[in-house]
Amino acid sequence: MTDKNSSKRSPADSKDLPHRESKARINPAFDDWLEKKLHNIFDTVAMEPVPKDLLKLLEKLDEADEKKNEKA
Amino acid sequence: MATNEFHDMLLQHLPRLQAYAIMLTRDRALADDLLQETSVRALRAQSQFTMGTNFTAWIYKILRNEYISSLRRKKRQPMPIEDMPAEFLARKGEQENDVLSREVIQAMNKLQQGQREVLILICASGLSYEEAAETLGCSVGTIKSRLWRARARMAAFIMGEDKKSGGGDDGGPMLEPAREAASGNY
Repeated sequence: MTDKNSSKRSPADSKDLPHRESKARINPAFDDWLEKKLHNIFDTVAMEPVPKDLLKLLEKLDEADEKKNEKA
Repeated sequence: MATNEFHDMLLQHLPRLQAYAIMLTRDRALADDLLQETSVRALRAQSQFTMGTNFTAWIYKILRNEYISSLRRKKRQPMPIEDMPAEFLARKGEQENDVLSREVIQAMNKLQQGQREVLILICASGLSYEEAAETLGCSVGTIKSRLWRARARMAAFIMGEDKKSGGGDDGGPMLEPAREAASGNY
């Protein structure tokens, strides 16, 4: 997935933060590393199969909806 | 919206919703329940979804609301960080990546709930600021503020700055993320 916010995020985002917070170190390399690491973890979990029981349930609900629409 | 179109969108979003549910709950069984409840609720509420609006933010918001409701119903607390399941770790078998992933997850779970959620939605799941704001029911400015603070805290936890300031750290060996980033080894 493309990063929709990449062009919007910058240290300038912190301009309006309280003085105490603005003193903290901003490290773009760390931010980049962190984002890629979190994205990697998320993608790994997202690649796992969706429970079959859920897919069956959704199929049944879909069929029920179709029957309801046919009657209507 | 046609029912089939709605079903297709829901099915397409299930893998990402599942990942969001697991990261949010830190509990696979609870995440499975949450995914099912979210799917059923979304189908029942499909007439309330307006064509042309953001389906991702809409469905993520349903999942989050269900999660909050389930916590209230069951009076459950999120899983302790020490019990984090191994399935969370990226690239199984690559020991260094596993260690780093575990450190990232453990650091993330030390964050305040609002900061953790923003990291999951934006950095992990790839939602835009606007989508995250809609999901969490707050302003884009709040999202940016929480994200900035979350990153600063994560840097402190992972790079050891928290230890210096007495902010609480498990004292384990720390790998250097910046060095790893520079070498291109994620």
